[in-house]
Amino acid sequence: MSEQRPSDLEPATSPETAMFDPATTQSVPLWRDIRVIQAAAQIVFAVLVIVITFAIVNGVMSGLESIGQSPTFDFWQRPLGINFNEGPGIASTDSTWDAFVVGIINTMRVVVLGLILSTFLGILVGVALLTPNWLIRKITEVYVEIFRNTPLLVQLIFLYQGVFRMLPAITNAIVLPGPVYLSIRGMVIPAFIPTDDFPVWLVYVTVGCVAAGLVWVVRGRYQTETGEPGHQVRYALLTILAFTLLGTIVLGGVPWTVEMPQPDMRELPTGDMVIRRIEGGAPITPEYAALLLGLVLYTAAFIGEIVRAGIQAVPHGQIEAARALGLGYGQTLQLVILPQSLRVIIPPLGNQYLNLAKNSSLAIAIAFTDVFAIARTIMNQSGQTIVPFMTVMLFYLFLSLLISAIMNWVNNALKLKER
Amino acid sequence: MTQRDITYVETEEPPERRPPVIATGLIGWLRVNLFSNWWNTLLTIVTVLFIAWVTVLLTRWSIQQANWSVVTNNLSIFAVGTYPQEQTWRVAAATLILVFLTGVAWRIYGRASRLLVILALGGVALLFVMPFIAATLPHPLTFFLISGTNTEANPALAYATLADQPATLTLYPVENFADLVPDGYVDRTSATVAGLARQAATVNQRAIDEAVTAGEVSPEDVPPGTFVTYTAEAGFAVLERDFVATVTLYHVPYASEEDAETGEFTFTQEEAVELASFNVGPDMTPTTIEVTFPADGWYMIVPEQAGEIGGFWLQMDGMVPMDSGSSSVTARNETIGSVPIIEGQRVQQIDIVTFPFRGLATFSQFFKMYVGPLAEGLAGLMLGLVLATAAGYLVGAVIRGQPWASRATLIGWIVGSIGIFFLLYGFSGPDGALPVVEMERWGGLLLTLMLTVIGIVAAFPIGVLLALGRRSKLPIVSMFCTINIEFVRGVPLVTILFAASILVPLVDPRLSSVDNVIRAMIGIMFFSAAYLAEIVRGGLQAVPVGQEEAARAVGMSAWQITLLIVLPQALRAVIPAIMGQFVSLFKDTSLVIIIGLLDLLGVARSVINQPEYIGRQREALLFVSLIYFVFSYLMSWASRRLEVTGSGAIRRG
Repeated sequence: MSEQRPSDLEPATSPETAMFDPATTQSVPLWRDIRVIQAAAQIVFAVLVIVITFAIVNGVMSGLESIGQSPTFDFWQRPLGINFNEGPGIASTDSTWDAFVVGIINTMRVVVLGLILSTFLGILVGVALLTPNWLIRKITEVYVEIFRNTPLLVQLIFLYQGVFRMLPAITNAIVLPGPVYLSIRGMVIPAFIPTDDFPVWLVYVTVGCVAAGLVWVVRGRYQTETGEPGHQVRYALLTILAFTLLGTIVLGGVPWTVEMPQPDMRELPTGDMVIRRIEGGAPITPEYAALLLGLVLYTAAFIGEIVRAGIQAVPHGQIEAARALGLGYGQTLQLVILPQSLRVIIPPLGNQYLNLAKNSSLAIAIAFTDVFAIARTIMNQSGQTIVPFMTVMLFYLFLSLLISAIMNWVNNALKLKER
Repeated sequence: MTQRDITYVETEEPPERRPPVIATGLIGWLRVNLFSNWWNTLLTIVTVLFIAWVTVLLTRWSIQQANWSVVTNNLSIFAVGTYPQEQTWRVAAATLILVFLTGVAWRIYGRASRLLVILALGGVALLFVMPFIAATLPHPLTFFLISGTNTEANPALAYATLADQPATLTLYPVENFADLVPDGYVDRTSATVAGLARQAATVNQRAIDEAVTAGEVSPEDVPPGTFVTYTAEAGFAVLERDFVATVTLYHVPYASEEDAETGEFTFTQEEAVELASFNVGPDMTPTTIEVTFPADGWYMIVPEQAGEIGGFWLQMDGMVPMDSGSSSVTARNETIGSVPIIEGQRVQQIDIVTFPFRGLATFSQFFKMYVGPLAEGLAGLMLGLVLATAAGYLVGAVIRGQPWASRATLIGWIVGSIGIFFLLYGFSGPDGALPVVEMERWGGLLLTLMLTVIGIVAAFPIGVLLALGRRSKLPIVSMFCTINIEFVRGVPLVTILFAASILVPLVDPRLSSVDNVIRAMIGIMFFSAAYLAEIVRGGLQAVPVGQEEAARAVGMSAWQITLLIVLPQALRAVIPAIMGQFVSLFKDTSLVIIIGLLDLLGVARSVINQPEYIGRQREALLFVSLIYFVFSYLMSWASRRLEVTGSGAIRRG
């Protein structure tokens, strides 16, 4: 790279100076040659880094050895001996690695759903921050300020200890419409159970989406060629709907069943009827609910601000010009405002996604068994420190890189194509 | 061509048109901002209803149901954690110095708005007035249940008070156990017993009602009386109240010189001086006695009982449960003496642990119990803060305009910061004025702020180096810095703190003696440096290339260019961003509770785990959130002000 060619920094070696006094270029001593100095500096730096790293690694290794915990990998195969009530159930005889995978799954359950929900809520907040209605705007501003100016950890602990752990006992669970049962043991919501036909139905929907893409392109071309409105959105949605309906009819009904939670009642000596337990439905632990809700509320406040700033970054003249061209409100939004504001929104949005993924590790404060909490359990159980710790670090790095990569890809796709 | 008359005179009034809608004034504002069309009107109405509902719920909860004693009793713990009680003046002094310096800087770089001054003065005045208002309000009453359902004898109660305090004691029979437990300071056991009795009474009443409804018994057959039980097999049974109790109030002076010296005293009941005795006999009429405590000291209330059915509430007016905080207990032990001991057992005290407030508080009780003590605890500190700010502001006004003012302020800050650190930490020398307070004992808000400041100040040079390194033309250096920054930014802070706490001692056994606080500081420093590096890099990119070229043209060396030309402009450009990072780090320091440190959130967690504050996590956490909010909102506000005033702008003129 730069040390191969004369640096811009050193005028003595650049051709312009050389013209004035050719002799000096020949006589630059080795220790004053910028290339030599740079190369030497780099070598010194690299050696320093290597030596320090080696010293640290060596220290850790000998430290571990002295307490009889030299890093090994065979503990991954040994059973962990602990069950987790969160995520896919595993037996206590399953290996430590299986437990770690459960942790990864739990983290991903929170992160993926959290990303989706906080995006939707964030957009809603951003729109509410721009609404002409003063009251809505102010109340949304209050929400944003409160959530942005208090630590997420405090919010999580408050949600968990102050809300979900203070719900009534299962015997007098709160029943929300749905039905959703809320109690100190968490939530029970109606379960969505796909039948065997579900994959087939999914194929229909996928084909419908592909067809919709084709329709989109065709209608777009039609609009460009004739100048007539192509109604791309309308036709594309209709295509998807048509294929979905077709699949449903061919399979004879929707390919899933909804299982409602059924409360099992019992009578108290006082004669009151109370819930003994709830059968069926999909149970959600209070830990998961608190973590997901906390992450979504916190991140949505930030995303809302980003969306607001992004939309405000579109010059008002653009909107006026769009109106002058005769574009409707929807078209202005779709063709003028969104493409320009998304360019402003996507990079900070990606940062928020990264933050959400990393913040999911705060689960440990509210006893949710995410990957970091399970890694700590593994460290305690197996006595191994370095290997589980490094694995969990690598997992988070990988997750961060994955989100960055996706967001970069989206950003590139939306970037202004300049000549 | 014929001439046509084109003159036209309108003889009729034009049709009346509606006047234009008012677009100014209050009504105009309402129309534009809240009721512009039917959709907005609907939204406004729904939102108003929602806000009203939330406000009513919150107000009702925080006044009636919340028990803020978890906050008012632990203010100093929230502020400084386990910092030694007798040394807390050092924290106060440090705060005053800091605020003074802020005042100086404020006047030199900006000015205070009149509104702010009025708000600050008004707030302090309010803090001073509120304890006086609270003093005029009555305390909630104190209740103790003497009941026959207790198979064991009801315990004696001990209470410490000063001389000449009046008290009114009333003994009244429980008419019906379905009655509510009274609202006030109620003994925990009494509340439980009364609750169980009420439940049993409800079951019983339901059995009677069902029998009546089913026609098994006629309503006339239900015998009058308080304690009536009914079962299908045995029919009615009327339990006659046979419970009688005598309550005697004793003064327990120190028994001997020896007891007074050790501070602990044991005595038999005969040694106590009987002050008053009253009872409720079988006729069940309430009796009241009024006493004035004759001397400073401990007093004992001893119930004696006979019978099993029935019970009495002992209502004590003027006997407020004693504070159970360690400092109050120490003060009490010194002035009055420690709890009396009978037969080797400490007498149960009437204190806030055993007599928590329960039930719904009225606004006056809320003010008396929580607002008054809170204002009392904060008033002095707040006055100090305002005075120190004012003093600093005045000094700032005097030196403003001097050519050396800015430099003097900077030096003042540096000297002040170092001074504050040594004031808080102390010296290990032999003289005892400022004994060392180990960092492990720092806690609460003090630790939170300390971690934040260290996290920014100590991380700053590293961050600048990393940023310069990342932009370096030397590939190895640049690669190393990039990997370092991206690695730290790619993993959660929790894992870094964890590494600092668990893995650092492994590097070298000598490091394991390092305080956990310092390890956390190192972790936070690494974390913060990476983020600062990215901010500084942004600033470096914002410096126009022409600046560097011009510097090179006048013959400056690479070092000179970086230090004198590029960095000053780059850093100036990123001041608001650094403030933003400061706010975010301030919030992130709460993560140190995961490695067991007692910062603001950590002390809140440890307080709500104490038995007397169980179930009070909402109050404690809300209070902590409020502190976090105030600090971080003020800092964001300051950062926005900096942005607006252009302090962070690059001069391009």
